[in-house]
Amino acid sequence: MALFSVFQTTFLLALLSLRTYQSEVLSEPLPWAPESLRVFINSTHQCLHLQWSVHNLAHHQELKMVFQIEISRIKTSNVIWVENYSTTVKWNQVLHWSWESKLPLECAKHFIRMRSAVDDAKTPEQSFWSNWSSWEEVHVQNSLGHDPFFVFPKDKLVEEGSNVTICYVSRSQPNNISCYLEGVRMQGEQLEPNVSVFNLNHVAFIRETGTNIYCKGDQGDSIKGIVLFVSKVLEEPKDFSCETQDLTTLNCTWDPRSDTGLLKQLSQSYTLFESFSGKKTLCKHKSWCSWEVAPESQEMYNFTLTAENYLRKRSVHLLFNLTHRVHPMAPFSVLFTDVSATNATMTWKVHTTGNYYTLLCQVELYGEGEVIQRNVSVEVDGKQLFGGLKPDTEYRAQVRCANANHFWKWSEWTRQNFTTAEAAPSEAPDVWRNVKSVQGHSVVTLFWKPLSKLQANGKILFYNIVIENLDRSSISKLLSIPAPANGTELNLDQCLYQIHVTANNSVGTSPASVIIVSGDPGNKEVEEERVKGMEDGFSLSWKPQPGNVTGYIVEWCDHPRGPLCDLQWKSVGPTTTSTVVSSDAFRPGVQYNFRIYGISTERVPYLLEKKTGYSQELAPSDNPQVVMSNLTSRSFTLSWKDYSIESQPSFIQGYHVYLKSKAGQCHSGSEKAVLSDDAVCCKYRIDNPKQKTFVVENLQPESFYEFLVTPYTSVGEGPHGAFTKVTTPDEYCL
Amino acid sequence: MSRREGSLDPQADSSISPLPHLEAKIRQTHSLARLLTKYAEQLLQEYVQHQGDPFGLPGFSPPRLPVAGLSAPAPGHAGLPAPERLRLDAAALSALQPLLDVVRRHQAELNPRAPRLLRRLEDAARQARALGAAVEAVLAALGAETRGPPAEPAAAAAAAAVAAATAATDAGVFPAKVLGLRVCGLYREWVSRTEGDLGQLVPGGPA
Repeated sequence: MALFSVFQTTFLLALLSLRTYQSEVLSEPLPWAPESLRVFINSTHQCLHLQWSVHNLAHHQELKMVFQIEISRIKTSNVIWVENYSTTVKWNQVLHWSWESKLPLECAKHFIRMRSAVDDAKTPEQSFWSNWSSWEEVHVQNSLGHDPFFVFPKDKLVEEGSNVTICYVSRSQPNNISCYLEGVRMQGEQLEPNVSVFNLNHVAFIRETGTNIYCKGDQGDSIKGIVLFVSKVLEEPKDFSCETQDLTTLNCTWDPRSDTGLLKQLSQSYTLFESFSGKKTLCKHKSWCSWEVAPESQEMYNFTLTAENYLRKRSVHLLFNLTHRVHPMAPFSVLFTDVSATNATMTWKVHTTGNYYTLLCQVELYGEGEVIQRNVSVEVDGKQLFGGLKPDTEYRAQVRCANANHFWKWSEWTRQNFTTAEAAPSEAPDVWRNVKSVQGHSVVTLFWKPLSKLQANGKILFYNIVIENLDRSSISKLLSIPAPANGTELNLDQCLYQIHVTANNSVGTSPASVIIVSGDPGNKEVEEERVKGMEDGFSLSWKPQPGNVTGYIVEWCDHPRGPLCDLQWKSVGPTTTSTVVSSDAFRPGVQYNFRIYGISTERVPYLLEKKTGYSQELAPSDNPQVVMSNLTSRSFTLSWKDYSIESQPSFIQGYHVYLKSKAGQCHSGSEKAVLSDDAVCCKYRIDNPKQKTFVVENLQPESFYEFLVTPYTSVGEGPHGAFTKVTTPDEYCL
Repeated sequence: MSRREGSLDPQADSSISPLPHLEAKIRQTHSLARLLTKYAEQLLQEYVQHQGDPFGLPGFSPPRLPVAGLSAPAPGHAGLPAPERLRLDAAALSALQPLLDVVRRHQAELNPRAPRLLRRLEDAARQARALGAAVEAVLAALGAETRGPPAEPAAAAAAAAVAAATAATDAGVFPAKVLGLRVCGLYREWVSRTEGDLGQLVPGGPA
C-alpha cells in the first residue's frame, strides 16, 4: 500500500512535472527562443522590418519553427496584429520578417515582441512556446523636427481606389488644427490627444501631379501639407499578339491601357519572357517589342508579357507556333507586260524566307464598272493573265499575300495601274442629214454623234466621208474631217448619192454608217399632227410601215426659234413604232416640230409623219395689233391680219372680242362677261384661229364703245390690257 | 534739407544731378519694371493653376515667411530715400534669381508637361537678374554708393537660396509647392515695388 502510494505519488509528481513541462510558460527558457531582435523602420513604405536569430542550433542543424509576432500600437496592451511565421531555421541564420502599417509609423508608437515554438513532427515533445521577447518600442516621433505639427505620410504613392490613412501629430494639446483635401475640410478621429487620423476611402485619381492635403493651425500661422500621388490601377495588357514577317524577328504588340506614370512613379515597364528558351527582354516601347528568332530553333513559343510599376505587376501569356503567325510583307515589283487592247499579264515578287513557304496571293483588278478577282499560289514570283479587258481603259490592280498553309493575316496591298491599248472603233457612228434644195443643187448637212468610250476604243482622230454618186457609179469625194467635229456640209447636185461615214482612231476604222441622199427629197405632203408634251418629253408614236424598213429616225430642232436649229435625231429599230423624245433644251412656250422618217432597206429615208407640240403651253403674253375700219353709226370692222399664230407660246384656238358700252346690252352673238376689274362687257367668240377680221354690229349712233381682241388657247387667253376707244358717229353724218 | 519722397530734387542731395542720359535710363528701367510686373502677375496665375487646389483658392494663404532671408518689401519701404529703396530693390531682385531657378527645377519634375509655366519661370529668373542690374546701373548713374548691410557675394547668396529651397523640397512635394508660391509672390511684390520706386524718379512722375 505504501509502495502503491509512493508509486502513485511519484506518478502524480511525474504527471505534474510533465504537465508543468508541457505548460505554455516554462520556468526555464526554450533553448531555441528568438534572440537579438532588431527592428528597422521604413517610413516611406510604412514598414517595420524585423531581424532576429535562433541560437543554440547545432552546426548543420535545421529546425522547422514557428514564430508568433505581436504588434501593439500606442500601448503594449493594444495589440493590433498577431501573425505566425513558419520557416526552417538553420544554424547561424538571421531571420527576417516585414509588416506594413496602414497608419503612418510617425502617427503612433508601436511595440513588437515575438516568441517561438518548434514545429517539427519529428520532435512533437518540443512543440511548445518559448517566452515572449521583450517589447521593442518603435517611436518615430522622437526624430521629428521642432515645428508645431506635422502631417504624414509624406508624398505617398497609392493606387486609385485604395484606402489611405493620414494623420497629423501636434506638439501641443489642445490644438485647433484643421485639415483639408483639395481645399475641402476633412473630418478626422482623435487617436491620441495630440494625434488625429483621417481615413480616406477609395481615393480617386485627380491629376498626375498629385492630390494636395494640408493642415493649418487655428492662427493660420503654420501650414503643413503632403501630396498624395494617386496612380491609376495598372491594367493587364490587352490584345497581346505576336507575328513575324520573315521568320527571323517576332514583333509583339499589345494595348497598354492606362498610363500609370506620375511624378512619383514612371510609366509602367514591360518585360517579355519566353519560357522554352528562358530568355527575357525589357521592352523599350510601351506597346510593342521585337524578339529575335534564332535560326533553325524552336517553332513553339510561350511568351509572358509582364507590365510592372512601383505598386503592381500584371501578366498575360501567349502560346503559339511561329509558322502559324506569318504576316508577309507586301509584294513588290508589280509589272504589267504584253498589254494589248483586251489582255494583260501581271507579275509580282514576294519576299522569301529561309524555308520556302507557299503564299496565297489575292489579285484584284478594278476597271470601269467591273472588278476581277483571282487567287494565285506563289513561292517566289507571281503571275496572272487577264483577258476580256476593255480597250483604252485604265485599270487599277492590287495584290496581297498570306501564308497559304496556316493563314494568319494578309499582307498590305501593293497597287499598280495600267492602261490597255486602243482598238479600232467597234460601232458605226450614228449619222443623220439635213437636205436643202438651193437653185438646182442640194446643200446636204451631215451630222454624226460622237462614239461612246465603249464604242470608240480609243481617241477618235478624224472622220472619213466617202461620197459615192450612185447615178454615175463613181466616188465623187473623199473627205477627212478632224475630230472633234460632229458634222459637215456638202454641196451636191440632184443625183443620188451614197455617203459612207466612218470614225477613225490610231488603230483603225469603225464600221461605216451609210446614208442615201437624194437631191430631191421627194417627201410627200404629210399632215402635221399635234402632240402634247409631258414632264419628261414628248411621247411619239407612228404607224408601222408595210414593207421592209431597217429603222426609224425621229428628227427635231432643239432651238426651233434660234438662228441655229441645232438639229437632233433619235434612231430606233425597225420594230419600234413609238418613243419618248427628251431634251434638256425643251422649254415651255416653244413649239417643237418632229419629223419621223423610215429608212428603207436601200438606206433611203422617207418622211412618214410630222408631229408638233409644246412641252408646256403658256397663255399668250400679248394681244394682236388691231386695226379698226369701216366705222359707221351702227358698226365697225376690226382686223389683225399681221398676227401670226405660228409664233405663239401655245396653240391659238380662236379669239375673244370684248366690247364695253354704256348701254351694257349684249346682242345676239355675244354674251355678258365680267372682267377682272368687275367691269361688265359683251364677249364675242371666234373659234377659227385663222379668222383675222370681225365686224362689230348692232351699235348705237353717237355712242362710246371700247373694244379688245385677245387670243384664247387651252391654257388661257391673252392679257386684258388697255381697251381701244371708239365713238360711233351720228347716223345722219356723212 | 527737405526730403520729398522719391524726388530728384538737387537741393535734397547735391550728388544727384538729373542728366539726360540718366533720365533716359530711369525711364527705360521703369518701363522694364512695368512690363515685368505684368509678367510676374501672369507667372503667379500660371503657377497656382498647375499646383492644384487649394493653391489659387481665395482662402488659402500660407504664412508669408522669409525665403533664404528674403522677405516682402517692408511697410516702411516707401518712406526711405530713393537710393535706399533702389538698393533694396536691386538686392531683392538679385536674391530672387536663384530662387526662381530652384522653383523652375522643381516644377520641371513635378509638371514636366507644363512648358509654358517652365518657360515663364525661366524667363522670370533671367528678367529678375536683368532688372536688378538695370536698377544698379541707375543707382550708379545717380552716384549713389552702396550703403547698408554688406551684400553677400552673388555665389554665396545663390548657395543660400538653393540650400533653403532644397530643404523645403526635401521636406516633401507640398512644401516645395508652397515655396514656389512664396517665391512667385515675392517676385511679383518686388518687381511691382521696383516699378513704383522708379516711377517716382521719372521726371514728371508723382512726387
